[in-house]
Amino acid sequence: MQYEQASPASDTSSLDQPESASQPLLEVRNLQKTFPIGNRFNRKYVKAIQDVSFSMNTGEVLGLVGESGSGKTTVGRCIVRLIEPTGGDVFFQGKNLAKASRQELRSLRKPLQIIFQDPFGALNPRMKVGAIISEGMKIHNIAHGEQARERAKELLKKVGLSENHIDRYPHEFSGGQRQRIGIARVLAVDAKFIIADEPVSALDVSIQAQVINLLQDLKEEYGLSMLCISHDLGVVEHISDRVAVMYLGRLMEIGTKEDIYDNPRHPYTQSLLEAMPVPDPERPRKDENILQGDIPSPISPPSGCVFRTRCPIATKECAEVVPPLEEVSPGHLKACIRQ
Amino acid sequence: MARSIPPTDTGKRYGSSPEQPMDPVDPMEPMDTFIPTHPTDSVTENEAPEQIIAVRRNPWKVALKQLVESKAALVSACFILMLVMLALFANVIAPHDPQAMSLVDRMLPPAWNAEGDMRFLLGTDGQGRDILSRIIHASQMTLLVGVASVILGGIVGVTLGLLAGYFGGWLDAILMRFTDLQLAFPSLLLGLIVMAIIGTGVLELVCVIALAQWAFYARVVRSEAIKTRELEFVQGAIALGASNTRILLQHILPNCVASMLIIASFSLAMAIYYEAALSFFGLGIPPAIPTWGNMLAGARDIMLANFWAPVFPGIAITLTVLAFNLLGDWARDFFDVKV
Repeated sequence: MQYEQASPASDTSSLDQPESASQPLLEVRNLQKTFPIGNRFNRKYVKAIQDVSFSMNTGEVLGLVGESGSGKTTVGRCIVRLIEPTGGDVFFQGKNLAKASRQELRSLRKPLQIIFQDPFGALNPRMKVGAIISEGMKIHNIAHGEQARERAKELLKKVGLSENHIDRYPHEFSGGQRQRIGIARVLAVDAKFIIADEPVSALDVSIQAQVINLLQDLKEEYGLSMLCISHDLGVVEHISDRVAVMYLGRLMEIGTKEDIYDNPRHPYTQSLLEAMPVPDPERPRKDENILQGDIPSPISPPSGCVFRTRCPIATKECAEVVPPLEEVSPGHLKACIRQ
Repeated sequence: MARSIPPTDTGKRYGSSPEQPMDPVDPMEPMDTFIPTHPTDSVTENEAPEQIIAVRRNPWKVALKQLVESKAALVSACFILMLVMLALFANVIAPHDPQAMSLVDRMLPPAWNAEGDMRFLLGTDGQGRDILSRIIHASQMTLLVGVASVILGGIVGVTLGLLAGYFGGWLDAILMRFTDLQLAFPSLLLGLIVMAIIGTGVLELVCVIALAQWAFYARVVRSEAIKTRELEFVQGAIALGASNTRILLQHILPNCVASMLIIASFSLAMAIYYEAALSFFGLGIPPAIPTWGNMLAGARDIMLANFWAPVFPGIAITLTVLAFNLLGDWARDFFDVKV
């Protein structure tokens, strides 16, 4: 099973990942994040993510789905340490990002870049497009001056914009165009792994398709790997090779796209797919499995299985143990003791 | 529980058929006609910015155009320009030597008054010095002290505010307590104490006024920095590996310009007021050097007999303060972030 690694070998560098037969590009192990809230007299903790583990291979696209508040964005940001994880390891290209110092991190995460949801907040309104794209090149000494400018022009063309857009400010562009600039920005530092945090959620449906197709084209061309975080099951189904389902900070199910969409084994995944709109008026409505109520508070998540409060098939045992991720078929894992 | 989904082939493009986005694409349909991912296809999306670019080319022209459109700002700008000219060419413009006393001509009313003298357009003060010439010469010192103290206070306040807001934690706590202390203490009283200790003089006055003002910058810039720090473009820059210096100077500082200008405009007004007040108390600029505050202070004794002696420097102060405030308002709107 891909989540278990061989025992640690003698380490040359403190950040090296323990040796294993086939090293994945990215491996997240037991990632945890709790946010303290309240004041020092009334301290509470939001358990944003608990015990999340998965791994990804080069060229793979993993879709991470879940409701609002399930912790998908926190996972993405913890991987690049925009949010400091409370616990766990993140091995990227064999180096543990979670344990790296600030200085080491700067070079280690160069190939690991992030694309944001809000195309209006993701670009500095005071910088011209050329400066935005070439910033990373300057930081990592890839190119400077005229050379950087030329490369920025090339990248603009690559993402479907024109090279004379280079001297404009972000406010002169539409949402879809800004998202393209955001993509060019990460390509400029030769990103190999892109965390796309709701890359199209803020865009019109017609523009969504363009941006997704662009991401797919670039993925083919540059051999990118991608963690695509989205609440849109349609987008994830289209772009992903594998899909992970999160609920209240925990992984519920993970498997290939076909596993998840054709043969969902976790009741949460099943109700998510039930709720997914299918553009077919003839199809009979199946309302009985639609989830009732809201996601519980992550400050005091339910004991045992976090989903049990809304689960149609929950029993007494579900409140007692946290269900481990168990294999149902090779590569397809679910965290449910019932099915 | 299996949900039938159409088989997906890797070449499929997302959203290529708007009615049924999840269905496989008809292979006969040329998909790129619907999805413009290539530069040549995205012409329609780019047309609007194309019109803006003609204006955008020269930001100075845009600024000038907007200035002319706003009448108050235009008048203020002209007034300030005139003031700068008066200060620069005071020796040429002023009809009299500002220090030349003439006891015969003392306490003359303005020229349009029946007892006035055409030689002294705005009358003379208690020592028979020409009020107009003194106002013109005083503009030098007023502008110098005002601008210098705003710059000094701005540099100190902005630096501390940026550091406190960006780094937060104990640094923020310490710096903000100093700011609170500064804001809680009556700054005129502080100015009087400091001037009494370090002595009087232009440089000392600039330092004291700056001391009274830095806290306003620090407060506002800190809150702007906190706000901007959480924006996605700053997060993106961190992920790119940008240094703290780079993030502060390239990303956060430029986005604080609008609020800095507001503070600067009212600080300049306040600086003129402080200079006048401290000079009035005899702790500012030595009385021999004409400043508007010194003129007010000097006219105190003859105010009841000769109202014009304090009125004209007072008008000069009022108009100057008003002009800087109005121009500051306009500048804030002009430099406001466009998203």
